Amino acid sequence: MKRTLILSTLAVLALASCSKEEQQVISLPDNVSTFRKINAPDGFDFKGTKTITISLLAQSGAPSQPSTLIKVLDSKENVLLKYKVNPSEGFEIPLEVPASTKELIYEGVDGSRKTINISNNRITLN
Amino acid sequence: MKTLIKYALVIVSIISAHNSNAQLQFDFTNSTNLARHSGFPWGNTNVLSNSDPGCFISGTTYGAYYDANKDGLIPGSSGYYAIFWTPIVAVQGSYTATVEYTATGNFDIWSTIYNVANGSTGNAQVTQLGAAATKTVATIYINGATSGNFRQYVNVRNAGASNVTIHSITLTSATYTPPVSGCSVPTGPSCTDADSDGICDNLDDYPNDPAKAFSSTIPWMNWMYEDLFPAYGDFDFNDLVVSAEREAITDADNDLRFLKIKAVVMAAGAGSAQGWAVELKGINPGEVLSVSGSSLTDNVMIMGSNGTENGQTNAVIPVFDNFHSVINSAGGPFFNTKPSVPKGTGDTITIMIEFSKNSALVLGDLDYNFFSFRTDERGLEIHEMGYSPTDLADMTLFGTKQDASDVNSGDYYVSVDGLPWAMSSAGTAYPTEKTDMLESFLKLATWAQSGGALFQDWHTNTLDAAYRNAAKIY
Repeated sequence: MKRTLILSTLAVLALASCSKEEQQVISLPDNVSTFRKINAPDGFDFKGTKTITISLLAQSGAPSQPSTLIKVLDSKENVLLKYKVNPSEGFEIPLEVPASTKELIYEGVDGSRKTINISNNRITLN
Repeated sequence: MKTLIKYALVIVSIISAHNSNAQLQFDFTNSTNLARHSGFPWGNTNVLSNSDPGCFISGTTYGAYYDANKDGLIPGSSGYYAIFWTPIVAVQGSYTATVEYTATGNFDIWSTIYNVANGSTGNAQVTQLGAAATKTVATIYINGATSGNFRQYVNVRNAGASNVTIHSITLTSATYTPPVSGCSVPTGPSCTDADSDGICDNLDDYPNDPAKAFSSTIPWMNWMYEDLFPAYGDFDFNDLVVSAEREAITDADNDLRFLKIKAVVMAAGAGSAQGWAVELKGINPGEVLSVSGSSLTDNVMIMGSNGTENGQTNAVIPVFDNFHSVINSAGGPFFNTKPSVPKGTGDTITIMIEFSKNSALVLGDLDYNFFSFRTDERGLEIHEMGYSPTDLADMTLFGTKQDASDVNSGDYYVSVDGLPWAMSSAGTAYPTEKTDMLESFLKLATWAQSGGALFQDWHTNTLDAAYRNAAKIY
Protein backbone atom coordinates (compact mmCIF):
# COMPACT_ATOMS: atom_id res chain seq x y z
CA MET A 1 0.00 0.00 0.00
CA LYS A 2 2.76 2.33 1.01
CA ARG A 3 4.74 1.44 -2.15
CA THR A 4 1.71 2.04 -4.36
CA LEU A 5 1.14 5.41 -2.76
CA ILE A 6 4.72 6.48 -3.34
CA LEU A 7 4.64 5.40 -6.96
CA SER A 8 1.38 7.23 -7.54
CA THR A 9 2.72 10.39 -5.98
CA LEU A 10 5.85 10.24 -8.12
CA ALA A 11 3.76 9.71 -11.24
CA VAL A 12 1.57 12.71 -10.48
CA LEU A 13 4.64 14.86 -9.82
CA ALA A 14 6.27 13.71 -13.02
CA LEU A 15 3.19 14.48 -15.08
CA ALA A 16 2.81 17.87 -13.47
CA SER A 17 6.45 18.60 -14.16
CA CYS A 18 6.19 17.61 -17.81
CA SER A 19 3.08 19.68 -18.28
CA LYS A 20 4.67 22.73 -16.73
CA GLU A 21 7.83 22.37 -18.82
CA GLU A 22 5.89 21.98 -22.05
CA GLN A 23 3.80 25.00 -21.22
CA GLN A 24 6.93 27.04 -20.73
CA VAL A 25 8.71 26.05 -23.91
CA ILE A 26 5.80 26.64 -26.25
CA SER A 27 4.81 29.96 -24.76
CA LEU A 28 5.44 33.00 -26.92
CA PRO A 29 7.66 35.89 -25.86
CA ASP A 30 6.02 38.35 -23.53
CA ASN A 31 3.67 40.79 -25.21
CA VAL A 32 4.12 39.14 -28.60
CA SER A 33 1.23 36.94 -29.53
CA THR A 34 0.94 37.71 -33.22
CA PHE A 35 3.33 38.50 -36.03
CA ARG A 36 1.94 42.00 -36.19
CA LYS A 37 3.08 42.69 -32.65
CA ILE A 38 6.72 41.90 -33.33
CA ASN A 39 8.83 44.86 -32.37
CA ALA A 40 12.02 44.36 -34.32
CA PRO A 41 14.91 46.85 -34.12
CA ASP A 42 15.06 49.51 -36.79
CA GLY A 43 16.76 48.23 -39.88
CA PHE A 44 16.16 44.57 -39.21
CA ASP A 45 15.12 43.10 -42.54
CA PHE A 46 13.94 39.57 -41.64
CA LYS A 47 16.37 38.09 -44.15
CA GLY A 48 16.93 34.38 -43.79
CA THR A 49 20.27 34.54 -45.53
CA LYS A 50 23.51 36.39 -45.11
CA THR A 51 26.20 37.28 -47.57
CA ILE A 52 29.75 36.51 -46.59
CA THR A 53 32.83 37.48 -48.50
CA ILE A 54 35.25 34.66 -49.19
CA SER A 55 38.79 35.52 -50.08
CA LEU A 56 42.01 33.75 -50.88
CA LEU A 57 45.02 35.94 -50.34
CA ALA A 58 47.54 36.16 -53.14
CA GLN A 59 50.62 34.02 -52.51
CA SER A 60 53.82 35.79 -53.30
CA GLY A 61 56.12 33.79 -55.49
CA ALA A 62 53.37 31.49 -56.66
CA PRO A 63 53.33 30.56 -60.33
CA SER A 64 51.36 32.96 -62.46
CA GLN A 65 49.29 30.44 -64.34
CA PRO A 66 45.95 29.35 -62.84
CA SER A 67 46.40 25.90 -61.47
CA THR A 68 44.47 25.44 -58.29
CA LEU A 69 40.84 24.48 -58.01
CA ILE A 70 39.16 25.14 -54.69
CA LYS A 71 35.79 24.28 -53.29
CA VAL A 72 33.68 25.68 -50.47
CA LEU A 73 31.05 23.33 -49.11
CA ASP A 74 28.40 23.49 -46.43
CA SER A 75 27.92 20.89 -43.73
CA LYS A 76 25.61 18.90 -45.98
CA GLU A 77 28.31 18.58 -48.64
CA ASN A 78 26.64 21.03 -50.99
CA VAL A 79 29.29 22.64 -53.18
CA LEU A 80 28.57 26.32 -52.71
CA LEU A 81 31.58 27.49 -54.63
CA LYS A 82 33.90 25.83 -57.11
CA TYR A 83 36.51 28.14 -58.46
CA LYS A 84 39.77 27.99 -60.37
CA VAL A 85 42.27 30.10 -58.55
CA ASN A 86 45.43 31.76 -59.66
CA PRO A 87 47.53 31.52 -56.49
CA SER A 88 49.55 34.57 -57.41
CA GLU A 89 46.45 36.73 -57.62
CA GLY A 90 44.05 35.28 -55.06
CA PHE A 91 40.38 36.16 -55.26
CA GLU A 92 37.46 37.62 -53.37
CA ILE A 93 33.85 36.67 -53.92
CA PRO A 94 30.52 37.12 -52.11
CA LEU A 95 28.62 34.00 -51.15
CA GLU A 96 25.00 33.77 -50.00
CA VAL A 97 24.38 31.27 -47.21
CA PRO A 98 21.54 30.63 -44.76
CA ALA A 99 21.67 32.97 -41.78
CA SER A 100 22.11 30.04 -39.42
CA THR A 101 25.30 28.85 -41.12
CA LYS A 102 28.07 28.63 -38.51
CA GLU A 103 30.85 27.06 -40.51
CA LEU A 104 31.91 26.16 -44.00
CA ILE A 105 34.34 23.61 -45.37
CA TYR A 106 37.26 24.59 -47.59
CA GLU A 107 38.59 21.87 -49.86
CA GLY A 108 41.87 22.29 -51.67
CA VAL A 109 42.80 20.70 -54.97
CA ASP A 110 44.42 17.78 -53.21
CA GLY A 111 41.21 16.95 -51.39
CA SER A 112 42.42 18.20 -48.04
CA ARG A 113 39.75 19.92 -46.00
CA LYS A 114 39.61 22.65 -43.45
CA THR A 115 36.57 23.71 -41.45
CA ILE A 116 36.17 27.45 -41.21
CA ASN A 117 34.06 29.09 -38.56
CA ILE A 118 32.03 32.07 -39.66
CA SER A 119 32.54 34.58 -36.94
CA ASN A 120 31.83 37.55 -39.15
CA ASN A 121 30.86 38.14 -42.72
CA ARG A 122 34.37 37.78 -44.10
CA ILE A 123 36.44 34.63 -44.19
CA THR A 124 39.89 34.02 -45.58
CA LEU A 125 40.73 30.58 -46.88
CA ASN A 126 44.49 30.76 -46.43
CA MET B 1 48.13 -3.54 -68.57
CA LYS B 2 50.90 -1.36 -67.24
CA THR B 3 49.57 1.50 -69.26
CA LEU B 4 46.17 1.00 -67.71
CA ILE B 5 47.65 1.07 -64.25
CA LYS B 6 49.46 4.25 -65.08
CA TYR B 7 46.26 5.96 -66.07
CA ALA B 8 44.44 4.65 -63.04
CA LEU B 9 47.00 6.26 -60.81
CA VAL B 10 46.01 9.74 -61.81
CA ILE B 11 44.14 11.18 -58.85
CA VAL B 12 44.20 14.85 -59.56
CA SER B 13 45.45 16.05 -62.88
CA ILE B 14 46.94 19.42 -63.42
CA ILE B 15 45.14 21.78 -65.66
CA SER B 16 47.17 21.56 -68.77
CA ALA B 17 47.30 19.78 -72.03
CA HIS B 18 50.92 20.62 -72.70
CA ASN B 19 53.69 18.12 -72.23
CA SER B 20 55.80 20.70 -70.46
CA ASN B 21 53.20 20.80 -67.73
CA ALA B 22 52.78 17.07 -67.46
CA GLN B 23 52.71 15.53 -64.05
CA LEU B 24 55.41 13.20 -62.93
CA GLN B 25 54.31 9.64 -63.24
CA PHE B 26 56.85 6.86 -63.26
CA ASP B 27 56.44 3.17 -63.50
CA PHE B 28 59.50 1.49 -62.02
CA THR B 29 58.58 -1.79 -63.59
CA ASN B 30 59.93 -0.92 -66.98
CA SER B 31 63.06 1.03 -66.16
CA THR B 32 66.17 0.92 -64.05
CA ASN B 33 66.63 4.64 -64.52
CA LEU B 34 67.75 5.40 -61.01
CA ALA B 35 70.83 7.52 -60.34
CA ARG B 36 72.89 6.20 -57.50
CA HIS B 37 75.25 8.17 -55.34
CA SER B 38 77.64 7.02 -52.74
CA GLY B 39 76.61 7.61 -49.22
CA PHE B 40 73.29 8.78 -48.08
CA PRO B 41 72.16 11.78 -50.13
CA TRP B 42 70.20 13.32 -47.30
CA GLY B 43 71.45 16.85 -46.85
CA ASN B 44 73.81 16.59 -49.79
CA THR B 45 72.56 19.70 -51.51
CA ASN B 46 74.94 19.33 -54.42
CA VAL B 47 73.50 15.97 -55.27
CA LEU B 48 69.91 16.87 -54.58
CA SER B 49 69.75 20.23 -56.29
CA ASN B 50 72.23 20.01 -59.12
CA SER B 51 72.94 16.41 -59.96
CA ASP B 52 70.70 14.68 -62.40
CA PRO B 53 67.60 16.85 -61.90
CA GLY B 54 65.60 14.53 -64.11
CA CYS B 55 66.53 11.37 -62.23
CA PHE B 56 65.31 9.45 -59.30
CA ILE B 57 68.16 9.45 -56.80
CA SER B 58 69.08 6.81 -54.32
CA GLY B 59 72.03 5.95 -52.11
CA THR B 60 74.36 3.02 -52.45
CA THR B 61 73.67 1.74 -48.96
CA TYR B 62 70.40 3.11 -47.72
CA GLY B 63 68.91 3.08 -51.13
CA ALA B 64 66.45 1.28 -53.26
CA TYR B 65 67.21 -1.14 -56.04
CA TYR B 66 65.33 -2.18 -59.07
CA ASP B 67 64.41 -5.85 -59.12
CA ALA B 68 63.01 -7.11 -62.39
CA ASN B 69 61.67 -10.24 -60.74
CA LYS B 70 59.63 -8.19 -58.31
CA ASP B 71 58.60 -5.65 -60.87
CA GLY B 72 59.77 -2.60 -58.93
CA LEU B 73 61.98 -1.10 -56.27
CA ILE B 74 63.06 -3.06 -53.24
CA PRO B 75 65.20 -2.16 -50.18
CA GLY B 76 68.87 -1.39 -50.47
CA SER B 77 71.61 -3.40 -48.88
CA SER B 78 70.46 -2.47 -45.40
CA GLY B 79 67.48 -4.70 -45.95
CA TYR B 80 65.37 -2.32 -43.94
CA TYR B 81 65.04 0.87 -45.93
CA ALA B 82 63.96 1.52 -49.49
CA ILE B 83 64.84 5.17 -49.96
CA PHE B 84 64.69 7.35 -53.02
CA TRP B 85 64.12 10.90 -54.14
CA THR B 86 61.95 11.83 -57.08
CA PRO B 87 63.25 13.96 -59.93
CA ILE B 88 62.91 17.70 -59.43
CA VAL B 89 59.35 18.82 -59.98
CA ALA B 90 57.73 22.23 -59.98
CA VAL B 91 55.07 22.32 -57.31
CA GLN B 92 52.14 24.61 -57.89
CA GLY B 93 50.22 25.01 -54.68
CA SER B 94 49.16 21.75 -53.13
CA TYR B 95 49.99 18.40 -54.62
CA THR B 96 49.50 14.76 -54.01
CA ALA B 97 51.95 11.87 -54.06
CA THR B 98 50.82 8.32 -54.46
CA VAL B 99 52.69 5.05 -54.58
CA GLU B 100 51.67 1.73 -56.01
CA TYR B 101 52.97 -1.13 -53.91
CA THR B 102 52.66 -4.69 -52.78
CA ALA B 103 53.67 -5.98 -49.34
CA THR B 104 53.22 -8.98 -47.13
CA GLY B 105 53.03 -7.00 -43.90
CA ASN B 106 52.66 -3.56 -42.39
CA PHE B 107 55.22 -0.84 -43.00
CA ASP B 108 55.71 2.92 -42.80
CA ILE B 109 56.53 5.47 -45.43
CA TRP B 110 58.35 8.55 -44.19
CA SER B 111 58.15 11.41 -46.57
CA THR B 112 59.19 15.00 -46.78
CA ILE B 113 60.10 17.54 -49.40
CA TYR B 114 63.41 19.10 -50.31
CA ASN B 115 63.41 22.63 -51.68
CA VAL B 116 66.17 22.70 -54.28
CA ALA B 117 66.36 26.50 -54.20
CA ASN B 118 67.28 26.92 -50.56
CA GLY B 119 67.99 23.41 -49.33
CA SER B 120 65.22 23.45 -46.78
CA THR B 121 63.14 20.44 -45.96
CA GLY B 122 59.80 20.27 -44.31
CA ASN B 123 56.31 18.94 -43.91
CA ALA B 124 57.48 15.52 -42.82
CA GLN B 125 54.80 12.94 -42.62
CA VAL B 126 54.58 9.28 -41.71
CA THR B 127 52.05 7.11 -43.45
CA GLN B 128 51.31 3.66 -42.14
CA LEU B 129 50.30 1.13 -44.74
CA GLY B 130 49.14 -2.43 -44.53
CA ALA B 131 49.76 -5.62 -46.43
CA ALA B 132 48.61 -5.76 -50.02
CA ALA B 133 48.81 -8.97 -52.01
CA THR B 134 48.04 -7.17 -55.24
CA LYS B 135 49.25 -3.81 -56.46
CA THR B 136 47.64 -1.16 -54.33
CA VAL B 137 47.70 2.60 -54.62
CA ALA B 138 48.10 4.74 -51.51
CA THR B 139 48.51 8.43 -50.90
CA ILE B 140 51.70 8.95 -48.97
CA TYR B 141 51.98 12.67 -48.80
CA ILE B 142 49.78 15.70 -49.13
CA ASN B 143 51.61 18.92 -49.11
CA GLY B 144 50.40 22.24 -47.80
CA ALA B 145 50.25 25.28 -50.02
CA THR B 146 53.75 25.55 -51.49
CA SER B 147 55.30 26.54 -54.74
CA GLY B 148 58.75 26.09 -56.16
CA ASN B 149 61.06 23.30 -57.24
CA PHE B 150 61.20 20.27 -55.00
CA ARG B 151 62.26 16.69 -54.76
CA GLN B 152 59.90 14.36 -52.95
CA TYR B 153 61.66 12.13 -50.43
CA VAL B 154 60.30 8.63 -49.94
CA ASN B 155 61.62 6.38 -47.20
CA VAL B 156 60.00 3.00 -46.86
CA ARG B 157 60.71 1.52 -43.47
CA ASN B 158 60.46 -2.12 -42.54
CA ALA B 159 60.52 -2.70 -46.26
CA GLY B 160 62.54 -5.90 -46.09
CA ALA B 161 60.59 -7.70 -43.41
CA SER B 162 57.32 -6.88 -45.12
CA ASN B 163 58.62 -7.64 -48.60
CA VAL B 164 57.63 -4.22 -49.85
CA THR B 165 57.95 -3.47 -53.54
CA ILE B 166 57.31 0.01 -54.89
CA HIS B 167 55.95 -0.36 -58.39
CA SER B 168 55.28 3.22 -59.38
CA ILE B 169 54.95 6.72 -58.08
CA THR B 170 52.78 9.60 -59.20
CA LEU B 171 52.96 13.24 -58.25
CA THR B 172 49.90 15.16 -59.28
CA SER B 173 49.47 18.91 -59.44
CA ALA B 174 53.25 19.08 -59.65
CA THR B 175 54.74 19.72 -63.04
CA TYR B 176 57.69 17.84 -64.39
CA THR B 177 59.80 18.66 -67.39
CA PRO B 178 62.25 16.01 -68.58
CA PRO B 179 65.80 17.36 -68.78
CA VAL B 180 67.60 17.82 -72.05
CA SER B 181 70.35 15.44 -71.05
CA GLY B 182 71.04 12.88 -68.37
CA CYS B 183 68.33 10.73 -66.90
CA SER B 184 64.97 11.17 -68.44
CA VAL B 185 62.00 9.93 -66.54
CA PRO B 186 58.96 9.73 -68.76
CA THR B 187 56.14 12.03 -67.96
CA GLY B 188 52.66 10.87 -67.18
CA PRO B 189 49.86 11.30 -69.63
CA SER B 190 48.03 14.55 -69.92
CA CYS B 191 44.53 14.25 -68.55
CA THR B 192 41.44 13.35 -70.49
CA ASP B 193 39.64 16.50 -71.51
CA ALA B 194 36.73 15.48 -73.69
CA ASP B 195 35.48 18.99 -74.39
CA SER B 196 38.96 20.50 -74.78
CA ASP B 197 38.17 23.37 -72.45
CA GLY B 198 41.43 22.97 -70.56
CA ILE B 199 39.78 21.40 -67.52
CA CYS B 200 40.46 17.73 -66.94
CA ASP B 201 37.35 15.60 -66.98
CA ASN B 202 37.77 14.53 -63.38
CA LEU B 203 37.58 18.17 -62.31
CA ASP B 204 34.99 19.28 -64.86
CA ASP B 205 31.36 19.17 -63.73
CA TYR B 206 30.37 19.25 -67.39
CA PRO B 207 33.16 17.33 -69.16
CA ASN B 208 31.37 17.30 -72.52
CA ASP B 209 30.45 20.98 -72.72
CA PRO B 210 33.24 23.51 -73.30
CA ALA B 211 31.01 26.37 -72.15
CA LYS B 212 30.57 24.77 -68.73
CA ALA B 213 33.17 23.68 -66.23
CA PHE B 214 32.31 24.38 -62.61
CA SER B 215 29.05 24.23 -60.71
CA SER B 216 28.35 26.35 -57.61
CA THR B 217 25.03 25.78 -55.94
CA ILE B 218 22.87 27.58 -53.42
CA PRO B 219 20.77 24.74 -51.99
CA TRP B 220 17.00 24.72 -51.84
CA MET B 221 15.40 27.62 -50.00
CA ASN B 222 11.83 28.72 -49.46
CA TRP B 223 10.28 32.09 -50.29
CA MET B 224 7.06 32.78 -48.42
CA TYR B 225 4.62 35.57 -49.20
CA GLU B 226 1.71 37.50 -47.81
CA ASP B 227 -0.23 38.56 -50.89
CA LEU B 228 -2.31 41.53 -49.76
CA PHE B 229 0.47 44.10 -50.05
CA PRO B 230 0.26 46.99 -49.31
CA ALA B 231 -2.34 45.89 -46.75
CA TYR B 232 -1.76 43.48 -43.92
CA GLY B 233 -3.11 39.97 -44.22
CA ASP B 234 -3.35 37.09 -41.82
CA PHE B 235 0.44 36.62 -41.53
CA ASP B 236 0.37 32.94 -42.34
CA PHE B 237 2.96 33.57 -45.05
CA ASN B 238 1.57 30.78 -47.18
CA ASP B 239 -0.27 32.74 -49.83
CA LEU B 240 2.59 31.69 -52.05
CA VAL B 241 5.44 29.45 -51.00
CA VAL B 242 8.09 28.64 -53.57
CA SER B 243 11.09 26.43 -53.03
CA ALA B 244 14.06 26.97 -55.32
CA GLU B 245 17.64 25.88 -55.90
CA ARG B 246 20.17 27.94 -57.82
CA GLU B 247 23.12 26.53 -59.72
CA ALA B 248 25.61 28.96 -61.21
CA ILE B 249 27.76 27.44 -63.92
CA THR B 250 31.09 28.97 -64.85
CA ASP B 251 33.46 28.06 -67.63
CA ALA B 252 37.17 27.32 -67.62
CA ASP B 253 37.91 31.04 -67.35
CA ASN B 254 35.65 31.43 -64.30
CA ASP B 255 33.22 33.40 -66.44
CA LEU B 256 29.58 33.06 -65.47
CA ARG B 257 27.90 31.35 -68.41
CA PHE B 258 24.70 29.79 -67.08
CA LEU B 259 22.30 30.05 -64.18
CA LYS B 260 19.95 27.17 -63.58
CA ILE B 261 17.01 27.71 -61.27
CA LYS B 262 14.87 24.81 -60.22
CA ALA B 263 11.64 25.84 -58.52
CA VAL B 264 8.57 24.15 -57.09
CA VAL B 265 5.42 25.80 -55.79
CA MET B 266 4.98 24.29 -52.36
CA ALA B 267 1.82 26.13 -51.32
CA ALA B 268 -0.60 28.72 -52.58
CA GLY B 269 -3.11 29.73 -49.98
CA ALA B 270 -4.35 32.65 -51.98
CA GLY B 271 -7.48 33.62 -53.79
CA SER B 272 -5.60 35.54 -56.44
CA ALA B 273 -3.29 33.94 -58.95
CA GLN B 274 0.34 34.98 -58.71
CA GLY B 275 3.54 34.62 -60.62
CA TRP B 276 7.14 34.48 -59.48
CA ALA B 277 10.25 35.93 -61.07
CA VAL B 278 13.79 36.98 -60.39
CA GLU B 279 15.54 40.22 -61.12
CA LEU B 280 19.28 39.89 -61.53
CA LYS B 281 20.41 43.22 -60.24
CA GLY B 282 23.31 44.75 -62.08
CA ILE B 283 22.98 42.44 -65.06
CA ASN B 284 21.75 44.10 -68.22
CA PRO B 285 19.09 42.21 -70.19
CA GLY B 286 21.43 42.39 -73.16
CA GLU B 287 23.93 40.24 -71.32
CA VAL B 288 21.46 37.37 -71.35
CA LEU B 289 21.66 35.26 -74.48
CA SER B 290 18.66 33.08 -73.81
CA VAL B 291 16.24 31.80 -71.21
CA SER B 292 14.48 28.47 -71.37
CA GLY B 293 11.96 26.79 -69.15
CA SER B 294 9.81 29.69 -67.96
CA SER B 295 6.16 28.80 -67.53
CA LEU B 296 4.28 31.56 -69.30
CA THR B 297 0.58 30.94 -69.79
CA ASP B 298 -1.15 34.21 -69.09
CA ASN B 299 0.73 36.82 -71.10
CA VAL B 300 1.39 38.81 -67.97
CA MET B 301 4.82 39.95 -69.05
CA ILE B 302 5.93 41.27 -72.39
CA MET B 303 8.96 39.23 -73.18
CA GLY B 304 12.03 39.99 -75.22
CA SER B 305 13.43 37.52 -77.70
CA ASN B 306 16.09 36.44 -75.21
CA GLY B 307 13.52 35.44 -72.59
CA THR B 308 13.89 38.46 -70.33
CA GLU B 309 11.08 40.90 -69.66
CA ASN B 310 11.01 43.96 -71.85
CA GLY B 311 11.20 47.41 -70.30
CA GLN B 312 13.59 46.53 -67.52
CA THR B 313 16.97 48.00 -66.70
CA ASN B 314 18.12 44.79 -65.07
CA ALA B 315 17.43 41.33 -66.41
CA VAL B 316 14.07 40.07 -65.14
CA ILE B 317 13.31 36.42 -65.77
CA PRO B 318 9.92 34.94 -64.97
CA VAL B 319 9.81 31.49 -63.44
CA PHE B 320 6.03 31.23 -63.84
CA ASP B 321 3.31 33.79 -64.39
CA ASN B 322 0.44 31.84 -62.83
CA PHE B 323 0.93 29.28 -60.12
CA HIS B 324 -2.21 27.45 -61.23
CA SER B 325 -0.30 26.34 -64.32
CA VAL B 326 2.48 24.67 -62.35
CA ILE B 327 0.60 22.90 -59.60
CA ASN B 328 -1.44 19.75 -59.50
CA SER B 329 -4.08 20.52 -56.94
CA ALA B 330 -5.90 17.68 -55.27
CA GLY B 331 -8.96 19.80 -54.63
CA GLY B 332 -10.10 23.10 -53.19
CA PRO B 333 -8.95 26.63 -53.83
CA PHE B 334 -6.09 26.49 -51.31
CA PHE B 335 -3.08 24.52 -52.43
CA ASN B 336 -1.29 22.63 -49.67
CA THR B 337 -2.29 24.88 -46.80
CA LYS B 338 -5.28 23.05 -45.34
CA PRO B 339 -4.50 19.68 -43.73
CA SER B 340 -8.08 18.61 -44.33
CA VAL B 341 -7.63 18.87 -48.09
CA PRO B 342 -5.68 16.20 -49.97
CA LYS B 343 -2.13 17.25 -50.68
CA GLY B 344 -1.20 18.25 -54.20
CA THR B 345 2.13 18.43 -55.98
CA GLY B 346 3.98 21.20 -57.69
CA ASP B 347 5.78 20.78 -60.99
CA THR B 348 9.54 21.19 -60.96
CA ILE B 349 10.22 24.16 -63.17
CA THR B 350 13.76 24.32 -64.51
CA ILE B 351 14.94 27.65 -65.86
CA MET B 352 18.22 27.84 -67.74
CA ILE B 353 19.64 31.30 -68.29
CA GLU B 354 22.60 31.64 -70.61
CA PHE B 355 24.87 34.64 -70.32
CA SER B 356 27.06 36.11 -73.00
CA LYS B 357 30.71 35.16 -72.75
CA ASN B 358 31.59 38.66 -73.89
CA SER B 359 29.89 40.12 -70.83
CA ALA B 360 32.65 38.64 -68.68
CA LEU B 361 30.27 38.17 -65.78
CA VAL B 362 31.55 36.32 -62.73
CA LEU B 363 29.91 34.52 -59.85
CA GLY B 364 30.05 37.62 -57.69
CA ASP B 365 27.87 39.50 -60.15
CA LEU B 366 24.85 37.42 -59.21
CA ASP B 367 22.59 39.55 -57.03
CA TYR B 368 19.21 37.89 -56.77
CA ASN B 369 15.96 39.75 -56.23
CA PHE B 370 13.12 37.25 -56.26
CA PHE B 371 9.57 38.58 -56.20
CA SER B 372 5.96 37.56 -56.63
CA PHE B 373 3.54 39.44 -58.80
CA ARG B 374 -0.18 39.35 -59.32
CA THR B 375 -1.16 37.51 -62.48
CA ASP B 376 -3.94 39.96 -63.24
CA GLU B 377 -1.96 43.00 -62.13
CA ARG B 378 1.67 42.86 -63.24
CA GLY B 379 2.69 45.94 -61.28
CA LEU B 380 1.72 44.49 -57.92
CA GLU B 381 5.07 43.08 -56.97
CA ILE B 382 6.03 41.78 -53.56
CA HIS B 383 9.71 41.58 -52.65
CA GLU B 384 11.53 40.83 -49.45
CA MET B 385 12.07 43.77 -47.18
CA GLY B 386 14.75 46.13 -48.41
CA TYR B 387 14.75 44.82 -51.95
CA SER B 388 13.81 47.32 -54.61
CA PRO B 389 10.88 46.94 -57.00
CA THR B 390 11.57 46.40 -60.68
CA ASP B 391 11.05 49.10 -63.25
CA LEU B 392 7.57 47.77 -63.97
CA ALA B 393 6.26 47.77 -60.40
CA ASP B 394 3.33 50.00 -59.57
CA MET B 395 5.05 52.72 -57.58
CA THR B 396 1.74 54.26 -56.51
CA LEU B 397 1.24 51.41 -54.07
CA PHE B 398 4.12 52.48 -51.86
CA GLY B 399 3.13 54.45 -48.83
CA THR B 400 -0.48 53.30 -48.96
CA LYS B 401 -2.37 51.22 -46.43
CA GLN B 402 0.15 49.59 -44.09
CA ASP B 403 3.15 50.08 -46.33
CA ALA B 404 5.78 52.52 -45.12
CA SER B 405 8.33 52.19 -47.92
CA ASP B 406 10.56 55.19 -48.34
CA VAL B 407 11.05 55.65 -52.04
CA ASN B 408 13.68 58.30 -51.52
CA SER B 409 15.90 56.22 -49.26
CA GLY B 410 15.23 52.96 -51.07
CA ASP B 411 13.70 51.20 -48.07
CA TYR B 412 11.03 49.19 -49.80
CA TYR B 413 8.46 46.64 -48.70
CA VAL B 414 8.55 47.55 -45.04
CA SER B 415 5.34 48.09 -43.12
CA VAL B 416 4.45 50.82 -40.66
CA ASP B 417 5.39 48.33 -37.94
CA GLY B 418 8.68 47.38 -39.55
CA LEU B 419 7.33 44.09 -40.86
CA PRO B 420 7.80 42.30 -44.19
CA TRP B 421 5.42 40.84 -46.75
CA ALA B 422 7.93 38.26 -47.89
CA MET B 423 10.51 36.11 -46.16
CA SER B 424 13.08 33.60 -47.34
CA SER B 425 14.73 30.83 -45.40
CA ALA B 426 16.59 27.58 -45.69
CA GLY B 427 13.70 26.02 -43.79
CA THR B 428 10.90 24.35 -45.67
CA ALA B 429 7.99 24.45 -43.25
CA TYR B 430 5.16 26.98 -43.31
CA PRO B 431 1.97 27.51 -41.30
CA THR B 432 -1.38 26.00 -42.02
CA GLU B 433 -4.06 28.22 -43.51
CA LYS B 434 -4.79 31.34 -41.47
CA THR B 435 -2.32 30.42 -38.75
CA ASP B 436 -0.18 33.30 -37.61
CA MET B 437 3.52 32.56 -38.16
CA LEU B 438 4.24 33.06 -34.48
CA GLU B 439 1.91 30.24 -33.53
CA SER B 440 3.84 27.86 -35.77
CA PHE B 441 7.40 29.03 -35.18
CA LEU B 442 8.00 29.67 -31.53
CA LYS B 443 11.38 31.35 -31.76
CA LEU B 444 10.52 33.65 -34.62
CA ALA B 445 9.53 36.58 -32.44
CA THR B 446 12.65 36.30 -30.30
CA TRP B 447 14.81 36.05 -33.42
CA ALA B 448 13.26 39.15 -34.92
CA GLN B 449 13.24 41.18 -31.73
CA SER B 450 16.89 40.35 -31.15
CA GLY B 451 17.69 41.75 -34.55
CA GLY B 452 18.57 38.28 -35.79
CA ALA B 453 21.13 37.60 -33.07
CA LEU B 454 19.18 34.86 -31.29
CA PHE B 455 17.66 31.68 -32.65
CA GLN B 456 18.94 32.03 -36.19
CA ASP B 457 17.64 28.51 -36.63
CA TRP B 458 14.07 29.52 -35.78
CA HIS B 459 12.88 28.07 -39.09
CA THR B 460 15.27 25.19 -39.68
CA ASN B 461 15.23 23.66 -36.23
CA THR B 462 12.56 20.98 -36.29
CA LEU B 463 12.42 20.41 -32.56
CA ASP B 464 8.74 20.29 -31.80
CA ALA B 465 7.37 22.21 -28.81
CA ALA B 466 10.64 24.05 -28.32
CA TYR B 467 11.01 25.60 -31.78
CA ARG B 468 7.76 24.90 -33.49
CA ASN B 469 4.22 23.79 -32.98
CA ALA B 470 3.88 20.90 -35.39
CA ALA B 471 0.12 20.97 -35.15
CA LYS B 472 0.12 24.37 -36.83
CA ILE B 473 2.56 23.59 -39.58
CA TYR B 474 1.37 22.18 -42.86
